Amino acid sequence: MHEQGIEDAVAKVLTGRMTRRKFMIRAAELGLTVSAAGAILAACANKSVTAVGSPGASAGGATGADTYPVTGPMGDGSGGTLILGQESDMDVLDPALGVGAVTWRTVLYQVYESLATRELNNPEGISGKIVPNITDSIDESPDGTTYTFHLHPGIKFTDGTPFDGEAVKWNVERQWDQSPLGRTNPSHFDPNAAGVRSWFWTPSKLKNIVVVDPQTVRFELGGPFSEFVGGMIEAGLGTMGISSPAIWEKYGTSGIAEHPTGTGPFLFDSRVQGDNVTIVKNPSYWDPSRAAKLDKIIFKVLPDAATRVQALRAGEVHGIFAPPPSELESLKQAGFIVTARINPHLWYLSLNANEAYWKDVRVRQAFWLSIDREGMAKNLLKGTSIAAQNMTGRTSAAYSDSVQYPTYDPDKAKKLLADAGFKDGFDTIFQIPTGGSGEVMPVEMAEWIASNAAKIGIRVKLQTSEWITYLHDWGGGMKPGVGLNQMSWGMTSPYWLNLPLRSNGFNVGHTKIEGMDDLLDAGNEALDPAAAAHAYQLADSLNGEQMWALPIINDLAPVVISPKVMNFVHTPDWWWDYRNVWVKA
Amino acid sequence: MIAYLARRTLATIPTLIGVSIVTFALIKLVPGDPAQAILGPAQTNPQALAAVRHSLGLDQPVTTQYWIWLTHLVSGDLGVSSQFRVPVATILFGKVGNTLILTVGSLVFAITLGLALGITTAVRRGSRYDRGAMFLSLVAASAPVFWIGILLSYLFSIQLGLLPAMGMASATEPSTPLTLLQHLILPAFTNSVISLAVIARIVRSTMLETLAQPYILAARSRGFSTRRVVLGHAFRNVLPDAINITGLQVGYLFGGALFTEVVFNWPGIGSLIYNSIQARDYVMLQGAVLVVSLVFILVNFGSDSARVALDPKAAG
Repeated sequence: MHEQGIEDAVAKVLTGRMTRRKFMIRAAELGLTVSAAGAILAACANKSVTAVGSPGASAGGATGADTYPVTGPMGDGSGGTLILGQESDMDVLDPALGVGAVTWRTVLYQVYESLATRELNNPEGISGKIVPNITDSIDESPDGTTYTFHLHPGIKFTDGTPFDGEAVKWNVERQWDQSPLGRTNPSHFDPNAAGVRSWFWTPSKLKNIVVVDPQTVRFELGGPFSEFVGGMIEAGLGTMGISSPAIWEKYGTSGIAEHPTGTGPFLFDSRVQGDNVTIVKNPSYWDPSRAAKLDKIIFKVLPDAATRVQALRAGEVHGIFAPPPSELESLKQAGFIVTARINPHLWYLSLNANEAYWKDVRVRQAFWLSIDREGMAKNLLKGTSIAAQNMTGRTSAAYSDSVQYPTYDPDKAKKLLADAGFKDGFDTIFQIPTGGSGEVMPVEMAEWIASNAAKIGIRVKLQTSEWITYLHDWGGGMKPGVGLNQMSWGMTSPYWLNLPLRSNGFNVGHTKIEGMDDLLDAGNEALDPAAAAHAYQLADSLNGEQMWALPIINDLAPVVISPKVMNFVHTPDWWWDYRNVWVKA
Repeated sequence: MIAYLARRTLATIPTLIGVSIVTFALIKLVPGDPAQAILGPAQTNPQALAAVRHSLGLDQPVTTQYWIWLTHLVSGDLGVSSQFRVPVATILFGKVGNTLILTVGSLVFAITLGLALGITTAVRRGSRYDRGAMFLSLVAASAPVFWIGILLSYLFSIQLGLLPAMGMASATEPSTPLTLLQHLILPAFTNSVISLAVIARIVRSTMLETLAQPYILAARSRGFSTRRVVLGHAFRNVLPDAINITGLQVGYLFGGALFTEVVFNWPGIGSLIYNSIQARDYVMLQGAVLVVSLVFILVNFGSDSARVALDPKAAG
């Protein structure tokens, strides 16, 4: 039956009776293997390429790094003040405007809650599991175009106003630009919030938000969008935290950041810009069984890595983020605990399609094969990262180890380069920031890549700039002469693949991968989660053959904590939930 | 005198405007704007970038942006920070206070050590101590402040563990005047080094001139002790010059706190300026630079007025 379906579909594609995109959706529905669909796709494109990998049964991989545990000491108890040293200051304490990962994992995620979230406090497995939060359940219509959220009754914002359907609608309207639908945005619409979330709300095809009753909100879409709930969790690097509309009415737009008010297990207490943000336990949290155990958390801003380490050793803080990899061994010996865990982080390269030398796929493959990612993770980054296997978030339901890009092989790389007519190699420019959000050690890592490439004859010259200047260059797309650049991001939602791979995504390299947008659409529109995962894997495999985006490493985001910190579970995502943590006196 | 003060007060206004224009123009030369800083990777969506630029008024001509800022300023509104989304004024004032604490601390070091060094080297002119001290002060005055700060912090905090390495207060213990003092020592000394060297050299040369005066010789010939001659007779005539040069240093200490604050994580206006440049937070940066310039102008104004009060000829 399946075989018959596939043959029919292939025949239809080849005779032009079915679009490639429809074919891919059909292939995904029929459970076609990655390699088989890849081969068919390749045949359709009339190109001879080898399919990558074989189908994976499910998301897999180890729970965390082998080197570091996922948790600190566990045990019952409560109370204490937790002080955590952060590598940079928090930005806007407003869930619609905060963009930095630091802002989310510190204040926003503790103060605000979202309709759905992922399981963060389960130390077992790789959690990409979506769990309702301030909702009791989420219903999806069979045609994938309506999502109904049943809100948990009786929840109040910490300013005393009720959390209800109108509040949900109001929060979405703040960041959802309705002008493409020919409507006027309401007065609480914020173009900055919409800009930050522009990758989500417009592609999600959201058409209407209907408040059925105070406890029920229905989202109506213009067509199926498989990652509607998953993407909403990611929106703007965090969950779509729901803030109290009454605060906006009282203090205006900039008042929200000054008076953060949500429904979360913690309350905003105070902020000194450049120094700290303090939050305290919410004594009347709506679900007492999940209330915060800590009395207080102080997020201390310590941008200098050496200062962070010094503050930890001196007992000034209980934990530090972004520790220098070279210090981890000695901190462990001093009795501190290093935790780490697989999360959606991806440090990747994009190649510039306008540079002549990359036109031949063999040259791109040769460059890829020359990069020793395992060595970089192990030796340069001391096991705080692992070599990336593909572009999909490792915590994603669509992640599969079977979608594995070719392994490091400098000899083969050299041969491919010679076959492509570059026996003596060529010169290229690699743009890189000196630091920045999720960037790990960008310059050292770029130097590693350059020295690897030099061994096969590709002469990579680094061009560094400070983060915002870098973003300016990166965002404008690569200029002539620039061969490659780099970015760090990644999501648990497989919708992520649309951003680095789609011809109208970030597309900083001006690439147009034949068939890519169709595959991504197939994933975005599939009604069955398994079919969606399949389509996304096919898209990732296609990039693995074409090599326009090069996945380098996944950061395990090590954190060093004092043994006094109890119930600390390293997060499997970008943001953290501290409600179970407490500190021993 | 009143006419002089009125004239000087009026003259500060064009100075402040000039400073704010230069600041505004300089930051515009750096690639990247607040909209790009806010959007990060999402800036690859041109509509989103345009919308955020529009909401921040960045799509207006530079002259219009400046004019809007200036007119708001006149009504006492410094604008809203793009990186924190909080009114600039609410952040600025606390930071000015912290920088003033650092400035006063630095001033104490600069004056006491500067005077002591200047006087003792003058008295022991040509000795090994004099030459050594003057060489050191030359090195100190030429060394970058952040380098001195890192060296001192490495030595006293990390190696010896005597003083805290950063911040104004301990996160674990309540802040008291004593803990503040402990946190203040290293950054205040670091910040004072250049002024200290300048004061020491000026005091030394003035003291040398004074010590060569006939009345000093007369005092010595009466058999007074060196201490009494130097501190009792000569120092009085060194004092006006010392006050003058110290007055000039106050502004430098306040403005120069930027490097020290960044090295020691001191939550003052210097750190704020540094972070605002990093985040391309134009509005915050303008407010901060304006405040620093205002302090600079006020201090100069104060020391000039004092000079005029002492010597009306200087009003010219």
